[in-house]
Amino acid sequence: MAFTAKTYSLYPDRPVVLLDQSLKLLRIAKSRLTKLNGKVPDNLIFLHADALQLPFAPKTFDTIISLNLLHVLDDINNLLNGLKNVLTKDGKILFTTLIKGNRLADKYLKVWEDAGEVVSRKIEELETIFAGLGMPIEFDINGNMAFIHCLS
Amino acid sequence: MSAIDENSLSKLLTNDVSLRHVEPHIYSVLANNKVGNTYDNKFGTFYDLVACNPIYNRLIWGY
Repeated sequence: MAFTAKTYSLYPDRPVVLLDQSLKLLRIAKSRLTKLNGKVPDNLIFLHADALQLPFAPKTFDTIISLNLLHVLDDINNLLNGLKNVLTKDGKILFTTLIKGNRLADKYLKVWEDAGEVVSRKIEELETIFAGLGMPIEFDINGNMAFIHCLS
Repeated sequence: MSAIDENSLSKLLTNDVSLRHVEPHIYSVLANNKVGNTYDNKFGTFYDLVACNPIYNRLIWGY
């Protein structure tokens, strides 16, 4: 929400569920939206839940955006299968994730990986994992950040 | 405007899930006694101050 609060505020035409496993981060997000709008927009609601055990009925969402979650998970297959389950037939899934980018910052990423906070992957590794689940992707890379769009 | 409230959120959930009101606009499906996640402690503050800082991200991660 640090980068997206303003964007969410500009598009009140569809309901949005904002999910995180941390109540603290949900409250920070709520505070950002409130500062921007004077209140939480009526189309937004916060849900404290586990993305690896999504509580939603199948085929619930037309669009799913997962921001900076892939790189904190050892095994992303469970997440991807869960997201596919709650996506409508022609729905879209988009991700952002840190990746190895053949940059000096790869060494810094390794420090966080050694501390157990992130899992660093090459974009090719992610492509293989997504493809194995029948989820071909397109992506853009900016520095160490990958912006991924699932094509099915 | 496409408003969403507790009732419409409940309709999105599977039948076995219990929705709990935490505070205005925030709901939970996790047990009240569940140990918070890593970001609920000081790491969450660090994460918000540093990892959510555009200058940090531009300088370190290049985006």
